[in-house]
Amino acid sequence: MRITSLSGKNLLSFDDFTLTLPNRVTFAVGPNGAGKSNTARLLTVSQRAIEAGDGSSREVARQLAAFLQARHVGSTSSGIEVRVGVQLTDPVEQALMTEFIRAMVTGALVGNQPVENLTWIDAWADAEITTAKLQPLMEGEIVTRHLGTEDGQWLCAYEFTAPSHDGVSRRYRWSLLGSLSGTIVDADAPVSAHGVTGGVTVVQQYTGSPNPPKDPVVPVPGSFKLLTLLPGPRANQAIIGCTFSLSQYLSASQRRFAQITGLPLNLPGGGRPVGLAAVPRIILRRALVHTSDLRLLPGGGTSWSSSDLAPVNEAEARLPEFLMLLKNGDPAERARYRRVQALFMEFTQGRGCEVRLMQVPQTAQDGQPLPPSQVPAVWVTVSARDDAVVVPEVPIEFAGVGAWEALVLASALAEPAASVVVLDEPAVALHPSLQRQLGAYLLGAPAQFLVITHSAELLPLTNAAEVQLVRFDRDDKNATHARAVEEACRRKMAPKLKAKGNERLPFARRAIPCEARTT
Amino acid sequence: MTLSERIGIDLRRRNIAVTDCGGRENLADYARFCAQLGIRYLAVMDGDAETPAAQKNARAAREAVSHCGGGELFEFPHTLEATFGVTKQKPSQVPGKIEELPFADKMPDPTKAPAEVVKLAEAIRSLAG
Repeated sequence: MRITSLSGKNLLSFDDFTLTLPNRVTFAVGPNGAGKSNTARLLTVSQRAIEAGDGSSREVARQLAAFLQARHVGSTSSGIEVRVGVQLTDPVEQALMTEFIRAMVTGALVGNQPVENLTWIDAWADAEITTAKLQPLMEGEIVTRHLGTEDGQWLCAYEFTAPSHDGVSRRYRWSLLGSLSGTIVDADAPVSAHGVTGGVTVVQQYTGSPNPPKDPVVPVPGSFKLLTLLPGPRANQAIIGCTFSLSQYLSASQRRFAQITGLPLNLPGGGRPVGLAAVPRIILRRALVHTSDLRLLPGGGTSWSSSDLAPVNEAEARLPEFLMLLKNGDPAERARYRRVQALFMEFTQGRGCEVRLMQVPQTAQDGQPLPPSQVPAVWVTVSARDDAVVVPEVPIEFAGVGAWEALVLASALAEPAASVVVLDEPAVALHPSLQRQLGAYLLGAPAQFLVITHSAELLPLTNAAEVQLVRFDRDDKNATHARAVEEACRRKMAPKLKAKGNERLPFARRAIPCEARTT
Repeated sequence: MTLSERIGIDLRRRNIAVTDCGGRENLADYARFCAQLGIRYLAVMDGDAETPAAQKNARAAREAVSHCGGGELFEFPHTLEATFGVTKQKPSQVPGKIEELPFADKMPDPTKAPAEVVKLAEAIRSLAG
């Protein structure tokens, strides 16, 4: 996945803000309070809305309550809007999207009933509903909105552009959350407040009947076109019911989708309808890594028991526990653990790290004294590599703040599926030489990085391609705005700044460039 | 002593970067870079361009500042050294000359100091905000 843009309206420090991310690595600089970290929080809003997609509106409201309170002061509108532009670049992500469409269409064709020619329907879906035909869906925006009123609800949609019935490209909105969830409309001819009046179900698009087929043999459709799933441009026209149920009678693609996403099969009553939200949810969980999720201080080991081995998700697991899971996991997880160790060694220039289970005295809880006993605790230890002197391992909290910082970074960057990594001030506790090491690593690593930094050491003044330099500041309305340096200008200036020792210029509030002498 | 020190502006504390661009030919690129990043700037250039190449670079700097906006160009009538009455080969004498300048209310005395020094001091004060 690549994030192509981040937009925020009337939220946090944003009045009407858009940051485009055309390059693989974006370095965000600017003074404190300019809104750099808030830009990363736009991803958090989207992710939380997506996590709650198809779920209860109360849960979404709970997850995003703080953001509703954090509306931009002085904004002219009361509504909040967050847009995250995404591009599904990984074949696994594209396959997941394709599998969802197959599962949805076959679900509509088959209905919740036994069908004699299910194998034919499956074969048709596999042959006809291809990633190539669904390309317009592989790039779009996750749009999260709230009217800003007290009785308002959070809405979330996936917007994409596709050729319409008249051949002209139009923008479509596929609702993921809210009362219109599972509905596709023309984004420029949106449905009125009264809802969809010209709604056509997916079933109807394929069978001509609004109800699921009842015959044991279902007619196999002809050629699949994405257009069949897109509504006409008139207001209140929509394709509705763009979901499927994991019922008793599953198509092959529904089984595969459930397997990939971990959705439970054969729930009584067919379970909750599965909507498109499941696709970006899995993709974001897999692809997006934000170091602030991992930035939890270890503080004397983490008490641990086997019951804690099933965290809700990886980001919620505390880092030492998470590393312990990796160390004792399957071969892929063990390889990832070794990758964390290798990166830690790279960033600390030769120090090793190990996660260990140790016995520590049990602590009293709620003022109740406990009998003296030992409980297991997860410790991360750090060792130095020195051939001449034997340096014992020490717990990471005694190895310096930089060691912890390096561990957080190593853990974030070792995630093999991470294709978008947000590093929020990763250089805070690192020695300049380690910062330069990290900066060089980012230029060579395959993922997309958004690096928020105050460090000139980290900022690689290079004329390498795929790098964007953006400076954040507040405008006269106290709203965040960002300015990017043009590629040609950056490439030209990089060696010039380096040659004259002016690497800190991008961090300056004002500048006095002098022809030569600086008296 | 620097002019900014004499007018009571601590450039470092105010995060104002004074950069040696390494020649007049680089001034336009620096101005463009600052403008694109939204860093307000005051480009400082000598007005002694005599060769066609030097005149071309001076023109480019003027055009860049005018075209990109976001800053100003301060151009000495001749050179910085000439303004302070020292030879071009002895720029190290300029700080001493600045120290000798008559000041009033943390600004060069307009009745005694060279006019361009007063203008430069005003421009720095305006930039510092």
